[in-house]
Amino acid sequence: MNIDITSAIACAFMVVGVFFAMTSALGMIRFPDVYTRIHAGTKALTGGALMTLVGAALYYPAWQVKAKILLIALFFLITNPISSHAIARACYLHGIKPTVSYKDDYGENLNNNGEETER
Amino acid sequence: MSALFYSFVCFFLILTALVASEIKDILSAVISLSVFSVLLAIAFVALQAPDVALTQAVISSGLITSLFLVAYSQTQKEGRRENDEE
Amino acid sequence: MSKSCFLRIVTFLLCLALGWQFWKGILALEPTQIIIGPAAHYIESAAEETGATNIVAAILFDYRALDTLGEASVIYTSVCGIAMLFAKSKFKISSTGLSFIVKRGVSFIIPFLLLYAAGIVLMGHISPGGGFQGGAVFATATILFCIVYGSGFEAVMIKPKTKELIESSGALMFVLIGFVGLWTGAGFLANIAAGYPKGEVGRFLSGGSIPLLNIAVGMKVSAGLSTIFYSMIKLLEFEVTKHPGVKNK
Repeated sequence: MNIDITSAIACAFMVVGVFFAMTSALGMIRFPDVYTRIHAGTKALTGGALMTLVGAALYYPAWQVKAKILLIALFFLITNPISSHAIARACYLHGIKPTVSYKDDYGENLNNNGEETER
Repeated sequence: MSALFYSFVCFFLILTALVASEIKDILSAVISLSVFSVLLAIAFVALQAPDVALTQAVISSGLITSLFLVAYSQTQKEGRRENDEE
Repeated sequence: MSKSCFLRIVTFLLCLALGWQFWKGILALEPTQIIIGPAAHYIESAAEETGATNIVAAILFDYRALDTLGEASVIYTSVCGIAMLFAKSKFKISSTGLSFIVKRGVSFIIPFLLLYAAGIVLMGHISPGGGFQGGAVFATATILFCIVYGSGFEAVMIKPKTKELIESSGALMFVLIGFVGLWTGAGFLANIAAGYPKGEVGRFLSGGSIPLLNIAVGMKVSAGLSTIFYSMIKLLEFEVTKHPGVKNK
């Protein structure tokens, strides 16, 4: 009975993860602006992929497979936000402005200093 | 692997290949080619060929896409200068 | 426009016909209980004859090693051609790369990427992988380095002359390993018959000359693909002084 409960929990994790990935894809189509689309592509997608990988790690009984899957999840957690940050910064420096913006800290920083402060 | 999973992957292979060859915007075509190569790597894993899948995933979706983008960034649209700095 | 429409319809029908034949061929692959021909001999006796567990690596580097030499020389020729095409462009001012966050994050990832590539190359005779795959992952790590830190930094870290040296010595090592077989009288690129130690099947130190050939091919492919990317991106670098989206003083 123990194995049935574990595999049921693993399937629940995977279903929730797939749901988050699907909403991320839906958000990428329906959001109005490039910055909000990057939000949908980073937060929902990273969470969904992590839950799917945790569910897959719970499903297999051998510990070597669990360790490999959790390493993949750690790698994905580190690199996906970094690449989204690079895309968003490139979009801003190319000249794309958000649809509605109230305060632009990054633009003020660039104007005051003339270039980026940290290298 | 089951025939349902394999036909699912094949359908998306056909779809992305059609998009990559028929679309007018070059950047979208390059990204569609990259998606095509990732799906092809999954199809190779489903056919139990891990060596070929590893080669396909690394070279075609990493190196080929970046080389295409480097070559694309050298081109200009017709009738407009590329580096307009003003 | 009717001629181009007609040609497109003909192309579409041709693709459909070829795809249908391909699908029939794939469905015919399913029952694999009976294997005939050379594949039966390879599956039965590859582990005892060559000492490698990975049958694909045994075929690539022992039974058909001469074809692998031809494939490696094709890669070498294409790298020479591309480097010659882009040789006249002078090196412009290099860009400074991406932002601080990306640099710190990538500097955490790159050692593991290099470890992964070395693992694929060295364990090519036990698990799926080998020289080509590991060399491509090495080149991807170099490309990541070039994009994130700027090509000037990458040229200082790994000089282009060093890449040339690695690629040429990888190609030469392949041929010299083959010459050992010729020297002992067993034929060019012979594996066990030329005196390479076979070892126990499944261990790390096994397979005769297959790990050495993997290392040679890995060196050549990684340096070659990295040289291709570096010579193409040299054209692109420019000094970013003005950003079009920001008002400067």
